[in-house]
Amino acid sequence: MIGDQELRDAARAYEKALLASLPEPKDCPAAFSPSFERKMKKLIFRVDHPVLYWLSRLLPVLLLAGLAVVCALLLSGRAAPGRPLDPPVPAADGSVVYRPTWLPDGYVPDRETRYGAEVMIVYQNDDGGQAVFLYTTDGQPWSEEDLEGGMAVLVEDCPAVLRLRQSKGDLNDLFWTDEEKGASFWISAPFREEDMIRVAESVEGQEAALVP
Amino acid sequence: MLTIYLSAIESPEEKIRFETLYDTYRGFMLKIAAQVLHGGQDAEDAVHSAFLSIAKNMDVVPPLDSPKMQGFLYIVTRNKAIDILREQGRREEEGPLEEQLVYTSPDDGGHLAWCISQLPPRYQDIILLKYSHGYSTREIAGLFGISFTTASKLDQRAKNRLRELCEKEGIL
Repeated sequence: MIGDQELRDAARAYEKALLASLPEPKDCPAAFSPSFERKMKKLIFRVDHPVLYWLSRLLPVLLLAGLAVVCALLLSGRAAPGRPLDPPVPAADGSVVYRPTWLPDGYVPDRETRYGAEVMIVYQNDDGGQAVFLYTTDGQPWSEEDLEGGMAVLVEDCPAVLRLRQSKGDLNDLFWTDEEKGASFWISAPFREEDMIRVAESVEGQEAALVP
Repeated sequence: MLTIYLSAIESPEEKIRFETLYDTYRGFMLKIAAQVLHGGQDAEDAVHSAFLSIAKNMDVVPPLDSPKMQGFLYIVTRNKAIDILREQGRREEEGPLEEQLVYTSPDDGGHLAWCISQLPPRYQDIILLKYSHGYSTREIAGLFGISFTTASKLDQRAKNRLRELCEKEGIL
């Protein structure tokens, strides 16, 4: 097992060596083509005059976006998934970890890591199959890009999105946001549809600390 | 995304920061992109793409005087260059780029650092941003222009590959 601190130290050491092998920025001549300079002037204009720049583009973009939303609603007959979360309420002792309390046979915890507001728990079976349970309490919902291609399901009473594998070897993904728990959850696993939902519905807050 | 872009560029301090970044580091960034793409128009496109990403994510760009800046620009530029390789259907490297090998043996910089150096650039980038720079998965997703879940999966695969390398080297 590679510890987080060990990984941080090694990543910093490697980056330092990598940069030491490169010339200093002041020693790198900026020899660009005229077309690049033109593109960059446009970008810098965007940065310097954002209102002028975007006013010229905002109207058609909004019209197109509105049209796309109307089409999507007409086609799907439902609202797009995902909504902003209320800021999570920190636990009194700060040590609650959400975990599934049920998994299909054969899967056992392999490692658990916390990185800021994210907790990731990896489960493995004897055949090397992996399932990942991840949640974040950063207060942001899943983006539409995350949920693209999924179908609406329910995890208990919470609206969720299930995206089934497109090809052999892909994992199924289940996303949901539980405002009561103040977290957005994601399971990525090779489980059947009903098992994905069963795993999601078994998630409980536990006071036990993370197992590295 | 539009709102994020607008909010990112409305501050006068950030405009100055962006222009200073451009003036100071564009030659350096071109060198990095050229290492991956072997020069030419593609390398310029990678630098432009990197600046676009930076403009959209000014809130997570290190301060100009930060010692992290050079490494940050290195990673973002290399990542954009790799994206161009993929778009062109050119094979992505399975291991590190030959031009970017910094260790000659595992004893040079510590065994774990050596294992990181043996990862493909895409995996190195996510490991460096997360563990050397301290970015969250969501911030990395924004910088790389990918979804949170894709960034998480990339992180997971990078760590799996690193673990395999460490096991092979007898570190674990």
